[in-house]
Amino acid sequence: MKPLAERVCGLAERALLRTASLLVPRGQRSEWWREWHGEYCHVCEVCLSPRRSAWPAHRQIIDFCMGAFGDARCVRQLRRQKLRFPAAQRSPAVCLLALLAILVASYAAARLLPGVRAERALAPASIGAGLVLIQDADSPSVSEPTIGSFQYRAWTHGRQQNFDGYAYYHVAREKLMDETGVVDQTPWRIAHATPNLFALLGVPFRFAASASTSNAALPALVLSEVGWKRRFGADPRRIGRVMRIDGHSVRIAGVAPDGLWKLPGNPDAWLLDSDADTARGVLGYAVAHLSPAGRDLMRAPRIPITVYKSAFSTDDLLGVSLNCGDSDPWSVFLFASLIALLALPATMPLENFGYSLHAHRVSWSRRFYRWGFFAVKFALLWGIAYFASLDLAYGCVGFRIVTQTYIQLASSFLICLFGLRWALRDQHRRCPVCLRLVAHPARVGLASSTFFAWNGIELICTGGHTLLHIPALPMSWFSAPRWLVRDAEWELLFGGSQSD
Amino acid sequence: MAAEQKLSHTAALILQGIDAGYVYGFSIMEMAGLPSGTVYPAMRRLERDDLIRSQWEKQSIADAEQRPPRKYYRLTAAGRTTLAASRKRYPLLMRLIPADEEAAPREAAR
Repeated sequence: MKPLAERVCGLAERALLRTASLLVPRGQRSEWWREWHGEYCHVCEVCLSPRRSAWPAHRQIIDFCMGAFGDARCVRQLRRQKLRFPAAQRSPAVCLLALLAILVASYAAARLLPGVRAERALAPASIGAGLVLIQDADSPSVSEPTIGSFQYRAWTHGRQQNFDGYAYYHVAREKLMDETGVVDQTPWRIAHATPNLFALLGVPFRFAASASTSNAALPALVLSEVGWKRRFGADPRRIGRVMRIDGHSVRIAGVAPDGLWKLPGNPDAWLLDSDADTARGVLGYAVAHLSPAGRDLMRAPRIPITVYKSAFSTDDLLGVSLNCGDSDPWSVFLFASLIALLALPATMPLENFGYSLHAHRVSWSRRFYRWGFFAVKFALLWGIAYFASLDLAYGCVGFRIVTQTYIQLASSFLICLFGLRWALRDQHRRCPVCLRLVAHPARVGLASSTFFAWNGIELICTGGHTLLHIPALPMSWFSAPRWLVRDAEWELLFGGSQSD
Repeated sequence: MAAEQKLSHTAALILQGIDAGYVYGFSIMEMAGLPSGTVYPAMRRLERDDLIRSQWEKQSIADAEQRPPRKYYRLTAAGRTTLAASRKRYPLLMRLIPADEEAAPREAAR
């Protein structure tokens, strides 16, 4: 082997050892490195003898160096075990800190995941509020386009008291061509919309590009997040470029955030064109904004609308509220948590939730401390359930809105239910005096042989304040777990833990 | 507590190796034919359980041999008791690693 290759091998081996040393806790690192370096020199001395071939020898040395990673991990693990304090882990503060850490993590995820961010930006009060989708009264489904452009214009040009804003769009499949002449083989679902559509919906779009002097007159094309990622690789530099649709030039004006579009049609892009409501022979969707007078009238999710075309003919339309039927995440979460609360008694007995303190009265301050701890725990769990359900439902883009709502409903319900169960069980296992978890379970008696005597499991508070008796067989005189607060005589045994 | 400890075959092998005079990591590797990723972590655990104790070689000895100092391991009293129990449990240990007549006095001198 050439000297240069030898040197490279040597450097690589030392680099391996150095990298492994980073896994070792800082305080032990220098000694660890000293030992491994000493061993490494010895291995080199043994393996790189002149009689041996260099390559197999270096392979052997590298194998030796790879073992340093396992050793470094072991040192780290042993250090952790040394630092672990079982008594501290049982304290209520550690429990609350752990819950707080989970809450912060789930909140951070909700802030970072784009889907969740977009959903949270969708304030129910601003988007969807006061908006009505106008449909033909005979339409079997709201997803069907039923309003012709002529009908829309006739309706909007008439005198209206209940609505103060309108927009219209119809969806067509068209091919998109970029400035270099490359045509997409897959046609896009383009929503030809009146220019005020997004303003009416109150939906802002991302990377909103201001029109330059050269393309200011061109109609604006707003891409959906999915279309933008699929066709343009989520490249923000494409915003402002000119494209061609059906032979007409358009400029990309921005990207609509994912999850904000709650109207039918599921378009890949929206072409905001002033001629959108003049297309002949196509059916589309009309959206209207309720005036203050209209909001008072629109109490139901669907209201019939009659349009007088002449003295003898009318159009029967249906206004479908975009607020009703559209479930915002907060409402879904509230509903799910309520259902979880109702379902809780069916999954675990609650009659023993209150502490049964045998012949002992606990001071009001202790009771307040105990219930305060439970309330804080419950509040943290509730927050975790909300943000975690948002992360699960909206973190993954690509689901349909209905699917996301169901995911959020199910995850909120499950997290709330099992979180509450855990909170109650945890509270049951905490000493009523110091709120530390009880430990050292001891079995007392055998139900089969001492049927009429007390038998069950006895646990003790690590601070020595209380004993918890859990009966093995519930009896008429002793069915619920019972706490026994120790006497002052016990202080001799737990002298070090009298602070509580 | 340590005297009652039941060792794995690998740990018993390492303990026997140290007792036989293989007192640093690489010599144990060579003797037992185990990789470094097994031998060193096992020795850390044995040291944690007070079955072996480590000691750095004197710098003057290392300087005289023109190499970095080594860390040597030796059995503690608890380690000897555990090894005796392990020999009963694994009768082949003594046959696998007989005491190194040359190594033992040499390493004891360090």
